[in-house]
Amino acid sequence: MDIPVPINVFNHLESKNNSKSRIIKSKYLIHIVMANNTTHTIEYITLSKILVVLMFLTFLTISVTSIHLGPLTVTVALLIASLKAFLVLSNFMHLKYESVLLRILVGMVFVLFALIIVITFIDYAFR
Amino acid sequence: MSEHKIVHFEEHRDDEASKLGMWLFIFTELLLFGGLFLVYSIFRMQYPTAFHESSLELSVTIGAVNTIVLLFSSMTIAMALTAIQKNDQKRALIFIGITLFCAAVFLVNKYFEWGHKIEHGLYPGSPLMPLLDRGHLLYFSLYFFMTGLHALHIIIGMTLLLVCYYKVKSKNINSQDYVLLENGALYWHLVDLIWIFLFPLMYLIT
Repeated sequence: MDIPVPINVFNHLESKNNSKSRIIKSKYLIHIVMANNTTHTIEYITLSKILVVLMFLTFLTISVTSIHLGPLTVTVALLIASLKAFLVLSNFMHLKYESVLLRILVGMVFVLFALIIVITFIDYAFR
Repeated sequence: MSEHKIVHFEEHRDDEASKLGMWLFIFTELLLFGGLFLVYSIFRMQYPTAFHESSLELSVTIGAVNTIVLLFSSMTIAMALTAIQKNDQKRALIFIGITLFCAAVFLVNKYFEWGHKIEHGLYPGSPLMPLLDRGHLLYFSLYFFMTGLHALHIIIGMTLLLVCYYKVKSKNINSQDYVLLENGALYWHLVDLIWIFLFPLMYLIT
């Protein structure tokens, strides 16, 4: 990203400048060239550990279904699935290290979906 | 103004924006499957016994194997990204290769699973389907549609990762410029994410 910034904003920005951006001065404008690849590198061992947890949760889902909990079964299965989805989103999809904007956007999509589900079920329940 | 010119020699690339674009596309995909999950949950609520009986037709073992295969492939594609960030082209290629292999294993399993159903006359548009009662018919229609759409996403993901494989090989994707692999990996994780919900909902109904 290459952002031209008026010179009087410079001092303010310089104090906030992180090591990954470069500031280039020209006569009237300051160009801030931000590093393109700001993604965090996740180590192989961390990824393997996440996989072990995901595998464990998969076996847990299957064994929970075989013991009869009645209507609780589907709730437990969905809770475990949500936990797995959270692990995949935050680690494999690097969301843990992404900008707050993106994390809020992803959260909003799930909130939107939850609302659609709740509203539809309320509609069916009171027909 | 000479320094001003230097800035324009910089490559104009915005990886953050291309990743945001990929995420916006993923949102539409999530809501596409979300709509189907909504239809599924309404009908499951209305026909709980028919859904339970129909789900017994599916093999939990094949479903579980496919879940493990997809989770594993999700990890290997994340590792491919780690490798390319570490400038390790060889490992990146191996990890993308493993991911593609897992995707193929998933599709082969799906082929046998569907083949088994089709042998028994259970497929959309078969003469047997209209004879089923409403609950069973809805379950199998949703089963074929949702797993079919998911399998289509697997094929699209494989194509995307195959492109990434050759671009890593030709060094068009490298430790300085890997946003395409990042987006390809995001798509692959989406496929995994959908399966995480499809598996307990389709195979494990009590």
